[in-house]
Amino acid sequence: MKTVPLALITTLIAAPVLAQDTRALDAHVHGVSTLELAVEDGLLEIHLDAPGMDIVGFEYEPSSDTDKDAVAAAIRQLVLPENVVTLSPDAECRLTETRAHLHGDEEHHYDDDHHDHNHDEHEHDDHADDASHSEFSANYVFACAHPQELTEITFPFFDNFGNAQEIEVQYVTDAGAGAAEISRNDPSLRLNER
Amino acid sequence: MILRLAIGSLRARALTVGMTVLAIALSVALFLGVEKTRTGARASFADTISGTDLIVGARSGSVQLLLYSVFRIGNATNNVTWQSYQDIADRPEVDWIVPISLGDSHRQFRVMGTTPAFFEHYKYRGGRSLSISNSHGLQDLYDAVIGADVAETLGYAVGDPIVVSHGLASFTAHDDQPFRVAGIIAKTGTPVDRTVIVSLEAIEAIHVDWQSGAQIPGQSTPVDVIRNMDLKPTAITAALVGVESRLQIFGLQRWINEYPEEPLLAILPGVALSELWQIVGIAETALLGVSAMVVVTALLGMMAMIFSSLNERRREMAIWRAMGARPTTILGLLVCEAMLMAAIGAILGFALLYVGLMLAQPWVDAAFGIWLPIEAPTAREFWVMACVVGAAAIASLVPAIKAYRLSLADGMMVKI
Repeated sequence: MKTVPLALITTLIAAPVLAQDTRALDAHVHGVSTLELAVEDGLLEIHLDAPGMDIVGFEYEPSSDTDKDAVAAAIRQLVLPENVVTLSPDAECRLTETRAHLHGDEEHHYDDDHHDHNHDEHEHDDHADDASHSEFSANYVFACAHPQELTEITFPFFDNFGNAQEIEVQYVTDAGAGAAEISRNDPSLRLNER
Repeated sequence: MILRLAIGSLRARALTVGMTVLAIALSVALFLGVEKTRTGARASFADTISGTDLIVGARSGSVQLLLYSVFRIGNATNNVTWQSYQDIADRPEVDWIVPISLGDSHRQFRVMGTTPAFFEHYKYRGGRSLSISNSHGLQDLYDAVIGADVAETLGYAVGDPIVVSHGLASFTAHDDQPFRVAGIIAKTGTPVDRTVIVSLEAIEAIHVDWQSGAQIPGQSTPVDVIRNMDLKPTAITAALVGVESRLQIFGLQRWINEYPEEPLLAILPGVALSELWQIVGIAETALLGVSAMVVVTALLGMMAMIFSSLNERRREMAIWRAMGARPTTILGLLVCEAMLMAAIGAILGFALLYVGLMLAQPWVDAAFGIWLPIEAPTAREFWVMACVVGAAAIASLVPAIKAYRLSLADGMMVKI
């Protein structure tokens, strides 16, 4: 619960400093999450970014109690990796670290913060509305006894979050780097294949 | 017994059978050739770069960045400023970083400016390092190390002078500052073979008297003066980055992609290659589909041949039956003949493929940089052969069943 307002406050403070002169927005596609996966020396790190639309069904700043409850419930779900990924049991991976949070769009906050400096407030308001996308992030670290046995990862993520359609995965393992698109219909990723 | 009869029967009709077998052979060779080129191209691309965790360039597409930085296909949309390069190099995650500067050429070959660290960190084919015939590498400002194909095509040896041209369409030459071939890189099968490598400072040096892409008339700074100048580059084309730990790759990638001072793009070579294959995969499948249809066409041709032969063999069949052969024997004979033709065709197709590979291999390598390995047939290829023979058996069943049904009397009676 506490992490949400904290994250919002830090982005509010940090964004204007970082984004003094840049107006750049990342691509944001509803239904498409991104996942990064790296394995080295028995450590497996997974980072997931999912659009708010896929997780809670809205992307405005949660204001009502129902919205805030929904966000809190989603974070409680995301913080448990078994709701997102299922690793090959033979790899014997043990969770060592997990984090999940919602981060609003930095640019959005940057816009809000600078309204009084801007000469064209109205247009900027529109822009801000267009750009108000929020994303959920989750980060997991596992220690795996047999990382070479990590051959298949499936995604219960799709069962838990009905709006999610696709995950774009980038991975780096001993066999090299690669990319894959995981869809709701075939929610599995094969690794370490030659 | 049936096999012996089938061989004899095929021999008796050597010409038509020969044509059919040749059609099957060509189609099999085409199919396997397409498959071979496809896997060869993939392997060649994948083998070109290894050990590099990230490639950094101006923000464009990941596939485009990979193609121009590693494969020298296409051009950069923008350069990367030296300051941004320094910022990335100063990141704690960075283990090593090698800048690359492209844009000039020598005859038909690209010139690449880089640092000596390139020879240390550039790896190909699963971690192999470059080996230079003369191990000094780039020592002097005007030293150039050339790839095997450059040396072979232009007949260069160590110590020869070479003149670098400005830009890619070489209408102006940097002839006031000739380079010296300091080393030749052993054949790698990568685009490095077709590259002239000089130092980053040398790229700056040859452009000292140049402004907005043209030499300032009448101005030529003596080489001695240039040697004492500060030749720090202002921009590079791309950089190869090695990361301390694999777990930090994505973090550094995100940092570079969100770098606010300049629109940069960091890609993982393997990921960009996967994206490339996703695009190319459709065309590959189409090509494979077309060549599979050619095999089907050849088998249909064989079926038509057997059908038409049934007419001329009516007498023969009737005599078999009259001599006591059962209808199943006739059926078996025809299927056996078809399988024999397909098997000979497939084997001949293999032979054609290998002859073709031997002839085309050097040319394909030189023209496209794709190394097609000549190696023992894989299990998959044997499977393709088995499929062709199996399909031939099925295809021949149609005329064979017709022959099976034809009555004994049909062949004995003389029709007018």
